[in-house]
Amino acid sequence: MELEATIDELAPRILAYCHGLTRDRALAEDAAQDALAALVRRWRSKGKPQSPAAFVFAIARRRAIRALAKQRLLAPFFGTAAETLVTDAGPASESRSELARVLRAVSRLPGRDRQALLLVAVAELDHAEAAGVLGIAPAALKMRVYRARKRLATLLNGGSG
Amino acid sequence: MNDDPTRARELDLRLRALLTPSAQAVERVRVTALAAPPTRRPRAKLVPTLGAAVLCLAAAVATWLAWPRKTPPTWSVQSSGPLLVARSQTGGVWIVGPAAEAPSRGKMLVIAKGVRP
Repeated sequence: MELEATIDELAPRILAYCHGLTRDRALAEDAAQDALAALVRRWRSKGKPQSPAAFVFAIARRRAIRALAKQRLLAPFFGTAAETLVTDAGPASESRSELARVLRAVSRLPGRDRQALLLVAVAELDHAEAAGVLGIAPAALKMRVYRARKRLATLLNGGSG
Repeated sequence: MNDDPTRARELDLRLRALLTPSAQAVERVRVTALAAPPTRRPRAKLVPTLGAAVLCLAAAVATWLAWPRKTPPTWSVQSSGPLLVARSQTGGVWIVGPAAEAPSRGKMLVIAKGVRP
């Protein structure tokens, strides 16, 4: 079935994207699940959207940003979980620390550049689709991705960026 | 904007490898999404909404028309020579005529008023 194949293909990409955006596995899973469920509902009620990837990533982005904002708002009362522990087979401790280091660097990128980079590098959207998700021109998206890559490389190589 | 394609690709692959989700997480998300119930958002239907609006409007107009309102009393005015006699519905009688004395000689004044039994 085409819907199931699309979900199979999008699920890992959207999870990775949301994880990069939120730095929190639980928040990422919630946002990804919401977005994919929205795609399933839409598909079953009105048919396949023009671009399922753009549809689902646009929703996931909004959900992730909203969840992050809520978490930040509640942080003074409940504390923050920079990286939620997940019981299922996660990465080994060495790669976990590397993951934490990279995510910290990613989080230091300006928000607009970070979102553009994650959509292209992690979610594997092409420039037109990623630009559609962010509501900007493809040329502007390329510029943001370029800036983000450059700054991220500097940050990961020990520079202050 | 000279993005070195090799370095960019390396960076992308590194990010992708680090953020690859676990198979369990993917399966959880996949299964839950596919089991999503259909949306049951209440949608306003055009005809019932318009019908209700028209009914509300008609009720408002009917109430406004039927509402008891204070109307001014009807008067009857008769003239008798230079005098005017005004009678109200409530029984009041006013006689208006030109004043005969200074300082308002010639001006129309209420000369007498009373209540008709």
